Amino acid sequence: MRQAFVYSAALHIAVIAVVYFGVPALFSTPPIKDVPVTVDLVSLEDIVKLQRLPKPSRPIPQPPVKLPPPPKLSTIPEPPQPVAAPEPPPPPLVKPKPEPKPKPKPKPKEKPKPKAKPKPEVKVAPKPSVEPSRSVPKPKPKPEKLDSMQALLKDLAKRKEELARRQMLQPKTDTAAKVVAPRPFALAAISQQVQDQKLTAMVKEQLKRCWSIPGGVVDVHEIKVGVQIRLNIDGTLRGPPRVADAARMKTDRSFRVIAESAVRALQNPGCQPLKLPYDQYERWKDITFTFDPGEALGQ
Amino acid sequence: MKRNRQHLIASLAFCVIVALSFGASAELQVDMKQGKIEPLPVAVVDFFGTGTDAERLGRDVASVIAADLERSGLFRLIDPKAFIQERESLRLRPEFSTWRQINAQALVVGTAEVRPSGQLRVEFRLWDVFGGTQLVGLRSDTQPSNWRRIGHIIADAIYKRITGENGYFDTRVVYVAESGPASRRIKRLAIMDQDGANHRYLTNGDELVLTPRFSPTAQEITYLAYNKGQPRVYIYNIDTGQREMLGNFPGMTFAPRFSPDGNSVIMSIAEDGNSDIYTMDLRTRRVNRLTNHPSIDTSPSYSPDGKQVVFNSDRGGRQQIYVMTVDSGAPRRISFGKGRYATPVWSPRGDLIAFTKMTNGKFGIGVMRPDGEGERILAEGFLVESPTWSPNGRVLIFFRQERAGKAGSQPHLFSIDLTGYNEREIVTPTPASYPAWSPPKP
Repeated sequence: MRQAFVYSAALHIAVIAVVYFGVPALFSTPPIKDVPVTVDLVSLEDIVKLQRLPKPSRPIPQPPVKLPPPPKLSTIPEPPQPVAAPEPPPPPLVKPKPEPKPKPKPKPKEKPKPKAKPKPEVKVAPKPSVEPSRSVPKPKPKPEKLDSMQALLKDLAKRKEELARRQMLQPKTDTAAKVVAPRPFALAAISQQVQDQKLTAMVKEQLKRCWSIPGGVVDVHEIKVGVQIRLNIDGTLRGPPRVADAARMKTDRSFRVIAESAVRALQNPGCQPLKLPYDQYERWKDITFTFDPGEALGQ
Repeated sequence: MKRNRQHLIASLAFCVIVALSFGASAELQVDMKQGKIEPLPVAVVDFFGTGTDAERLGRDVASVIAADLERSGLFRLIDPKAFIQERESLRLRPEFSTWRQINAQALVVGTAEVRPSGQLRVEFRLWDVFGGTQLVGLRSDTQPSNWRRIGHIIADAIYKRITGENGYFDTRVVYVAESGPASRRIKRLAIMDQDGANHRYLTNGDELVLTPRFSPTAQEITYLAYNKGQPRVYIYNIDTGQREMLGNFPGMTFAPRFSPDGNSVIMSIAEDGNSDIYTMDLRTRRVNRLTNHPSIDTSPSYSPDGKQVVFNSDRGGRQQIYVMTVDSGAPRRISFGKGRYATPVWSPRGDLIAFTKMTNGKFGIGVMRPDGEGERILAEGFLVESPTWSPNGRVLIFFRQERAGKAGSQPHLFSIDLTGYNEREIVTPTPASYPAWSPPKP
């Protein structure tokens, strides 16, 4: 019993000693001595640049590749047009059938027009007559207000004639086509403006899907291209579109590119024929376009 | 009172006349301010050849042209299955009505012929389908091995005729080809045509190379390589395969780029932890210091006229883009957006400066005007960097790398045009970074 107590105490003391002092290091490495190390101070950039270890440089093994001489190009002309049947004449200009009008109501019998009153002759103020009252009264001279109105109307008529004459003289206009509806002038002009706006919107709506704007054109915001077209009554082109400033096509590459894209848009089968109201053909038979790619591209 | 009334009536009448004259005499005027921005539909027909070789070469040349045009994003190829007219009959003159039916707006036709001398003769014509006119026609006699180049040259001619801009298809790209694990990365200089063809390595990977750039003649490359632990600028001649170190400075030399006339190289030289911009005349080897500031000035790039330099600097506390005139002008900061800006490159056209932007933990490739206005980001990603311009200043090539760990986390080359919508990968045999686009081949 006593012996067991001694063993137990000794073992406990041994365990406590091991815990306190630790297991003896049988294979411990020799202690590290402080050795001074030389360090180079470099900037962060150097470290970044030098993180890959360079290998000793060697001569470049790749033999130079001899390329064949560059090809040279020469221009070839357009092949001659085949002798073909002449182009069919443009569809005849047939005036649209007038919309069926409601049957005219039976006109009331015209009243016999009163005879035109003789114009008041401008005379020296007549002397007051002293004739008896049974004599036929002379027409009263019109008041001065009517005189000025008449003069104005005369002026307007003259102006209208002059306008018509000017239109006749203009080479591009088709004199036969320019017919101004005999309406009151102001109303005619206003309604025409409204009609023009509608026509313009219709043309734009149809053409915007056919105008492919070339990307990357230099100074595109400085380019505006005018193109004129003449249309048949069925909305097809009567001839090729004409670029207004054709001379610039030869000198300004950017202008030419935009102009060609505009011409392509007008010739695109997807937008031919233009669908426009027949009864306003006289207004849209000639159209002048201004293609503005800068605006279209938001520049 | 009476007089006033007369005036009123007269004024009204005048207005009526004016309105009438405006309304009646003018033609219908249409201002087109709307269009669509979409590729031009073009039909490229296999070139007609007599004989097996000529037939094959004609088909190959046409395929190069078609691929170039399609990749530009400005042309939409029409499926050859839709073609109605026979190839042989196209030798004379196209039947335009059949091409209009399939909505072709431009038509490319040609012939290939192997001459008795062994030379390849290629003729091509570009037709305006709607107008029925020839826009351009060219002929070339060359070696048959040049067939790819002929294709690129024809594609350039078509691009130029349709867009008004010089093409960029007959060009090359040099880049850093990467391989091996990250701890032992091998970086070699490699060169290829802009479409990835004719690929070859210029260095064997024994040394680390970075930032290659072409000379204006496209025959020389300047780049950075590590020589005995020091980054050095070299010039490499593609034709002869010879290279030389540019100067022997006590500090690092890096970020080299040729001047527009090719007579000098602009680069950064770091001494005592300070990096500034220098130029070196390649004939006299005289060095000229452009900036002198305790900040890090680097990544210089000339304007096309050689009178100005754009570079990035942290002199304002954060990396930003600065422009200065070469004749000792004071640097003027042009970037003011959030984040940091780096690697500015002046467009060969002169109208834009491309850059890399780092903001909110993302990278972006963008462009801005030389006055700093009109900043636009064209491409974004975990890492997009190192833009280089096509010779016509319309397209950029850069490298893109996704976040590490994801599939495809290696860097690869991509091109993007100025619209920012036409991004294409340029396929390379190995992961690729630091691209440089050459001028047109001589």
